[in-house]
Amino acid sequence: MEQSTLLEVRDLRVEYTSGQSVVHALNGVSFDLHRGETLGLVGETGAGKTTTALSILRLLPDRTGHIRSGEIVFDGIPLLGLNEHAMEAIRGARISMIFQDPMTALNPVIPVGKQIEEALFLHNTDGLPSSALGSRVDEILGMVGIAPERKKEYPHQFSGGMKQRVVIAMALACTPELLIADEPTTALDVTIQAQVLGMMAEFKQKLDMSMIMITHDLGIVAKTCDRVAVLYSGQIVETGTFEDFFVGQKHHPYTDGLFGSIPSLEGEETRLHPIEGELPDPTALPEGCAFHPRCPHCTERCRTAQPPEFKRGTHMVRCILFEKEEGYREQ
Amino acid sequence: MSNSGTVLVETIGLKKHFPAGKRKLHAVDGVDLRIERGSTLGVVGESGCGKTTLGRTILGLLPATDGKILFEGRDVTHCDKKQFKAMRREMQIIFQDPYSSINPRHSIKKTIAEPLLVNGIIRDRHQREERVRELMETVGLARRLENSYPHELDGGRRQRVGIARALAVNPKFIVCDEPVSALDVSVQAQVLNLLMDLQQQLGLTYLFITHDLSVVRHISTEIAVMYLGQCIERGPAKELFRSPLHPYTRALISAIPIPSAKARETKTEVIHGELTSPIDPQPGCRFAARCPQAGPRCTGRDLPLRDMGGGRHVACVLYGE
Repeated sequence: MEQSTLLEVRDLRVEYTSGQSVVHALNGVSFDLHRGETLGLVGETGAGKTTTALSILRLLPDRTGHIRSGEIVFDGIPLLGLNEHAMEAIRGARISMIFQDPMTALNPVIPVGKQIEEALFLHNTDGLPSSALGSRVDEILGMVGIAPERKKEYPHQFSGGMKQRVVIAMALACTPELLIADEPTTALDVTIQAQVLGMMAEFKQKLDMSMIMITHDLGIVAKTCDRVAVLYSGQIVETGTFEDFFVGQKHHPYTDGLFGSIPSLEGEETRLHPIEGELPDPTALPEGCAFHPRCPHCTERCRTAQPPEFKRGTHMVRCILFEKEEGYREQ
Repeated sequence: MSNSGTVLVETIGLKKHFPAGKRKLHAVDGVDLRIERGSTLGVVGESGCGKTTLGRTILGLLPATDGKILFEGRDVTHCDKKQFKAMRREMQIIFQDPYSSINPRHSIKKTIAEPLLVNGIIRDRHQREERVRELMETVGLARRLENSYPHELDGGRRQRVGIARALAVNPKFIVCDEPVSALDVSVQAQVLNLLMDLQQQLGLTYLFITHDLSVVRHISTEIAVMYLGQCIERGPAKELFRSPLHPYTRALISAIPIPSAKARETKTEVIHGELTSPIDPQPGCRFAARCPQAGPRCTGRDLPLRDMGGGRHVACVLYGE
């Protein structure tokens, strides 16, 4: 079955400037998102996950964040060419985002019901009279499992899990086609995380949404995603389907390192196999493959030349080890 | 793991209550623990279950409301200032957030040397510097960093500074309060390996507090599961994960998303609701309100931890009363 593409990101390059130094946050990120699909964007702090999300929504900080080149096409519309007014009609209505920290994503001095209503009011595409917005707020709160009577309460009167439900309610208020969830459960406890992930999966089905799930937790990826992209130093080093990642044995050395760092819930091993070293300084990226200083398979070529992409079916790996791997072709 | 099998730290009916207006917040409410020399007791539970308060009360950083804390058989629950200072050389703590637990205006060298100076362990400056270098090497910090300041280091290195500072006084017992929660997975694994190596080399005993279940299983000899101030299950780490007894432990373990293809097939047992209030709780099982198997027997009176044999203990009416 040919899936239609909802979002296309091509060769996205983003820099942050502060004073003299330039942070190379994204260095040529490309991926597609099909309709109805959940794509997991995996990586560690500073890999460029959130920058990717903010670029799609055109929410990069004004003075410091700059999209240097690349294309973002959403449902046929090139987002980078839109003026702010046109972008406002998409942001929040057709693409919405859930932020990591529900404590700071909500306004502490406005009742939660009002905050949800605001989203409806700004994107009132159905032309609902303002009297009808209130009952729509009740309906949305009910959907995320919060009693509508609590809509007059303030964020501090809710627990962390409840606040994240409010944030999700806001994001879903206008039934977006694309939901970007930036570490939506990182601040939550594991039993509450299970509740929230379950709820998000349900909505995705019900509202027929596509989703980008940004996370550092491979467990969440395995639970929720159809496809996965691994980011390292602002580059996608591996993409593939759920099966490519969790059934397939061949991975980018960085992905292998991520798997080796997670303590197993079943095994008997006594030592973990972490990746030595730390993420490279984004103001002075190493030459060649960005991962080479930490890579156990590093060769002379890795130090000097950017590795090309090698592809087999749905699986793409950016590493020269795959040159000799059967079935992988250089792109 | 335990070479002598003797108990280093023990708590008996330990309680810590905080005043909340006219009422009382029961942060730790009757916890019995035994930690054997050279072993690691993992304390796991969700935010607000009292695990951090438990660690701090054991160290004497918070005065206990009731119950006893024994260290090498001595009652250390109520000690005066002098005894307290002496005890600090035996018991140390590593904090969760390496960004806020280190003085930003002190160099790395000064930070690690401070416990040596305060406790009057090494008075000679040159010897002290020598010891600081030795400690930095032990925790894997390059010597060139000794004059750096905390903001120049990343999270993993900062946490290594915190570890070196705790090790400076040669403690026997270290409370590790979520020491890897603020770190990225690849760095987290490095720090976990370091803590385990240090335990082997120096014969340390850990109380390891965390909310991360896969970490706790990996590092612990024994695990205590806490819920609203009480320990509801305790047992050897691997067995506890293989066959959790308490319905809450089962729900916790089932809620962990596993990074493997099996994640799709296994259905998560989602428990509903959230932690109830720890202010003046009613007697009875505190998990009963969320428990899928709760019945009338669960409320009305507190349930003791029952010995199930094989080092396993559980507080639940499903296993006899």
